Amino acid sequence: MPDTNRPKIIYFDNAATSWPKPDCVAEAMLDFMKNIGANPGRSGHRLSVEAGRVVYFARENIARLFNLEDPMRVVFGLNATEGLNLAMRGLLNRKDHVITSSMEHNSVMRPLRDLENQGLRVTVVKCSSEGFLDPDDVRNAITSETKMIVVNHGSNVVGSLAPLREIGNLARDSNIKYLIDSAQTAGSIPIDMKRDNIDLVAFTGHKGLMGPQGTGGLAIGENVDIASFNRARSGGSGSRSESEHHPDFLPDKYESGTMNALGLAGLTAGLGYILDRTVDNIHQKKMDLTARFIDGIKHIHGIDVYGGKDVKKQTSVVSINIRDSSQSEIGLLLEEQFNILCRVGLHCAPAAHRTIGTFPHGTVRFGFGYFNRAEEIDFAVEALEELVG
Amino acid sequence: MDDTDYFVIIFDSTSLAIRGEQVARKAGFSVRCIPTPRHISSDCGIVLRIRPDDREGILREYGAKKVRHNGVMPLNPVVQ
Repeated sequence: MPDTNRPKIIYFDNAATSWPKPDCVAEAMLDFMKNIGANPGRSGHRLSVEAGRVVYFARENIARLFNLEDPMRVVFGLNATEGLNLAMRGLLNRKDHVITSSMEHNSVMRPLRDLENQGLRVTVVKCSSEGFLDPDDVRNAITSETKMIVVNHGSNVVGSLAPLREIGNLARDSNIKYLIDSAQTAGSIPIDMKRDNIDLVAFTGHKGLMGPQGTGGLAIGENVDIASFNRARSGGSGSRSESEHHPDFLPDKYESGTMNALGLAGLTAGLGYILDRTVDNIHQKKMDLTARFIDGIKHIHGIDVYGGKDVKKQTSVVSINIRDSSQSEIGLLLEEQFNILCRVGLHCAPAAHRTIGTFPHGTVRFGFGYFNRAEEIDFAVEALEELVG
Repeated sequence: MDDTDYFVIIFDSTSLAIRGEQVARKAGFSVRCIPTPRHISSDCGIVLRIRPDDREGILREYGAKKVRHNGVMPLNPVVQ
């Protein structure tokens, strides 16, 4: 391909973190740094109250996004991993039984393996080689001891979507807590905690929600009893300051220390951007790009495309391999020769790669975002044709 | 000087106080977060100042939106 038409950088690593962000995200963060800057919830002066409002608006927008009535049930932390750890470590006890899927990221698998060492019993339901979870297999794994079902809504390896509502109905019928990892789907695919009977949603701010890194947390449904939900840490909360015991009300029970208000200012702006455009419209644009890519490469001899290859059943993530080439080699060639940035390897999800048959070497993963363009997709297809050629 | 006999609504935390402020404002009430006065015992550094005539309407709104609070008091100390 001629050098003259090559774009500067084509960013296809949106499954790791979305980039670029909408301008309003950086603008909101700059405004916070220059004009607000105070510690939210720690003082009574106007800047502290304004910083508190910034955090509150982030809670309100997350609650709206997931159809959660009470914004106080949104707890912020660093990322989805923190939300997942809070939910699993806070709600599960030794000898409880947990069901998860074989497509999980290590953000679910590693805490579960930690807890397994302390006596938790874990059933990993095998998904199909395309990455899909069969609700009947989940139903068959339920026992009288099962306390929680935790699954990722969208695979970070092949994008396969979990049958959210079917599993939610199973969990509700059996009085089992239902936790979803929405790292790959929040802001991209509608999530309705009420409609889908979801008790807990762990979310990250820096992917589909278009906010900065270091934001995320856990949305806690009305059916979760806070009294029996242990906190992960304690400390200053700006409330009950006369007491040396941590408060037991939401959100303070699960938040201690100064909040990342700067990050949440950006997250609020990102959420506003999404809610203005609607999650459905954003999803449609990403899936149009994904379909264009899949259609472009699926007939190229020498490329293996993993997953269902059906945009109705997946997110905007596509994993491939090029026969007789290593993943790292392909990643390097894509970057050096074509300025295409993607992610190669195991994507922190060894179980998922075992499921689709790509362990231990992994895949070359393309994660398309809202700001990618059709021309970039076409360029990537041509680049892959050239590499295989 | 403003001589309105304001009331204040007391909350467990600043997060709840700001929720109280936003719910009241969305319902059209003019309210303001202020530092908790010394004579009011509160777990939280701020309270919500409201006009006396708005008291019932705001509390009704809180009931509908499930906003938890710890009561309403006159802003100024009551002289016995």
